[in-house]
Amino acid sequence: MQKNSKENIERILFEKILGNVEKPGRYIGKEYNIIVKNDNANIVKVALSFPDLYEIGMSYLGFKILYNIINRREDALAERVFAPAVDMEKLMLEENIPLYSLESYRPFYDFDIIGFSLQHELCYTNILNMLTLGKIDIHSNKRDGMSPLVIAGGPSAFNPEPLTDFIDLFVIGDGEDVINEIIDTYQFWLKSRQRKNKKDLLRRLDKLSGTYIPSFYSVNYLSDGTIKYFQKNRKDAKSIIEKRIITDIDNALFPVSPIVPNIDIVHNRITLEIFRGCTRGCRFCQAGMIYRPTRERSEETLLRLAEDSIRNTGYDEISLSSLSSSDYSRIDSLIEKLLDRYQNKGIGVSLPSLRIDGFSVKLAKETQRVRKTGLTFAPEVGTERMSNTINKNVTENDLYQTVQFAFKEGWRRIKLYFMIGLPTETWEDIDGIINMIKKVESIGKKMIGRKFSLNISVNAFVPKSHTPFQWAKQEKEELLIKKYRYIAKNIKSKHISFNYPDTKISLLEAVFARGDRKLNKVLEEAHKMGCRFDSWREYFNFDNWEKAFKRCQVDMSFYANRKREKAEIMPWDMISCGITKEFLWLEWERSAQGINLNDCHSSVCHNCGLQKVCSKIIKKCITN
Amino acid sequence: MSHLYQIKFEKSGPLKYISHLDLSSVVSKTFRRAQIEVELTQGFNPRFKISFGPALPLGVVGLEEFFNISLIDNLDIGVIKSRINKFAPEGLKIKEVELLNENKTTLSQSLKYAVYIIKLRLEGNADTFNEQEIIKRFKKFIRIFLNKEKILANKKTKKGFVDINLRPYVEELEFVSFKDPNIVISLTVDIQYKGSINPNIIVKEFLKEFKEVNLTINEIIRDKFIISKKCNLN
Repeated sequence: MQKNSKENIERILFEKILGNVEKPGRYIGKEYNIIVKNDNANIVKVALSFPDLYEIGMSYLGFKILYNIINRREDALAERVFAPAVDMEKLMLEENIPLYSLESYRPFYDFDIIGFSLQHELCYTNILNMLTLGKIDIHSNKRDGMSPLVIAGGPSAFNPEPLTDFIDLFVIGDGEDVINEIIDTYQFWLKSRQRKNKKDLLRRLDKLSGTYIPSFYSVNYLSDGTIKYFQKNRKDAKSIIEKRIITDIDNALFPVSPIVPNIDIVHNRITLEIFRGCTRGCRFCQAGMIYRPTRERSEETLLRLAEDSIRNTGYDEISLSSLSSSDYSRIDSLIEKLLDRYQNKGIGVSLPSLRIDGFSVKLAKETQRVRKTGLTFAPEVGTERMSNTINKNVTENDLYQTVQFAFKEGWRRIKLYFMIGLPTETWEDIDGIINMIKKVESIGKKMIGRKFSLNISVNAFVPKSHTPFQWAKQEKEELLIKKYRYIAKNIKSKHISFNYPDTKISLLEAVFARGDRKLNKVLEEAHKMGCRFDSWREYFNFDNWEKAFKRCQVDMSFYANRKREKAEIMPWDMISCGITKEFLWLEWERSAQGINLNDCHSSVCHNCGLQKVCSKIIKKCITN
Repeated sequence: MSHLYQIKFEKSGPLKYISHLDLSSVVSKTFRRAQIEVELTQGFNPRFKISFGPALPLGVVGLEEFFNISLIDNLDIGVIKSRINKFAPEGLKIKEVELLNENKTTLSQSLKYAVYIIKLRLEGNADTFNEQEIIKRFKKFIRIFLNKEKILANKKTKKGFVDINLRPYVEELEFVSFKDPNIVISLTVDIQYKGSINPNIIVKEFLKEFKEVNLTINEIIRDKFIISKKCNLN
């Protein structure tokens, strides 16, 4: 039996490894609705690789969609690969088995295309670790046409620069159409017998819209470290990479037979994507910018998808997922219909996040007819001035009224999310947060009494690419810590629990979120030192990261704590999410002046850059 | 009008490695996919009216596990069995479905023992010992093991590490077969004595007797339950 054959891997797994690791169910596969296809020379094998644990990656809707799309093709197959936990990794190395897929225990290096999902910057070391465990060279330029093609997509792909040494191709925007085009192109390339010529494959892939091939470009820097220019190495390479947009989301494929895990995962339920995009325009939010324009699925379609999903999975909960679910145009009707159909079968409906108004609480009340959990709101800031700065148009009274309504309707647990370190923030604004928390507490104590509990979560602002705040700086750690401690001291109460993240994790996130190509070396160094699972407090090793930055002579604060000027070339300027840089700059200026902008769906169009696409979609919605 | 059924099932293969809590969730989803209506509990958080037999330790295969479930539909038991098996994930197999009447005693009271089949593997050079030698050795060590009054093992509990006496749990330990390199023994555990015990712990203590030979546990299977002689499940 060949050493790294699928059969051998499976045997060693069951005989020697699974009995000795935590949560062995992560590494087995064989779940209900799994798709295992036979392969042959004509089938393109795609590894959908999620750079985190099984429990995290299995909730990711994007992979469920791609799994379905790819496996429907006769000429391709998709299998799943997740990052093994630290104890599992150790045993895999001891037993000398490579990273493998769950569908067939196929070694990672045996795939034609490896696709990573970039959900956030702190998973980058996991990507390098997975490649290494899969016995694949992490360097793009050391892999030839016989090695797997390594691609990556997802929100963090909108600033791909810190990963350009390792990823061959980035997918920008919606993946549904482009994944088929990529596989089609790969097939053509195989048939052209250019298998050894990787450059030829990349050249063909560059012809597709929404693909960014970093090796086709180079970057030059000024003496102050900022970018001098970004240029093409090939005449025929794209100058700007426009993101892909699925305009007809109602007819877009939706997986109604997703894999049902045998072990518990986060969000263990049916996730229905009710719409994609958001028009609220909160200035700190990258998702709100990069997923525009808003495209809704019709009520009829959603009801059908819900019916099929429940029948094929047996789940007892449906989550209506989007960036702002109470904004769905037919939300009332949809929830009512779902509850009418499924409530008496013990199947519940949930909304992931709620807007701060009575309407949302009423919705929550409807959905929690079946299960009663806590309510979560995200005021983010504590003063009206800051509310205008970030363009999250919620007043203090909105919050107090909403909270009062919630208590009246029987809820006893409230969770509030806040963000500190935002542009123009003063200590008065921190006091504003404290006062808001105290006011909510007093309302709770008065209306509920002893059993009332308030959970406060405060996060540090991280400036992100493609947002009006991409010119802002993250506040220095010492100041953030001072603010956390100040808040903690002033809200001490038996009713209140308070948590905030490690400021060093926030710092690292801020560095990579707006990083450039110089960070590739740092990432590699950190990987060599064993960094992985950086978003997990138990594994985050700041000392090693600090050493990595020092060795590469790269300064963290250059990326995180530096305010940027209008003329500066950003590392992601060649990637277009459809919103013009001019619009973002105007928003940045408006934020400094405390001017807010209304939701463009319910008021006027603000000309963000997507007018053409948006008007096409709205016309379609109106005619429907 | 609901009916109470007792369902005997096998938990093996990929499901060997899931916890009891996860198993409960797997079973619930299977019933929903099979569109067999299960009675719900009352109150804020309605759940399926289902109660399981003793939990299987993680990693142990179960051949005759069971749960009692209250169904709304009045389906033929053959139909229930085939439909559940059609929608069950790999590793879950229904072996028997039985309609219970009022006379049945509750599950936990009537079960007295669990019988485990333990498959061991002899590592190393089998030529060093011949078959008869091995069998003789095993039977000797079993006798020694059973003659002990105290067999202490360190068990991790919620209160920390505690020394417990395993001997009262062991009702019987028998040699079954040897076919090089596989040895099979049978362990009968008293499951009513002082809370549950993982058979792994007992087997590991037993294997400590074997100093010159290298034995590893290949698989542990819970073969069946033995009811107490006082009541009659049938």
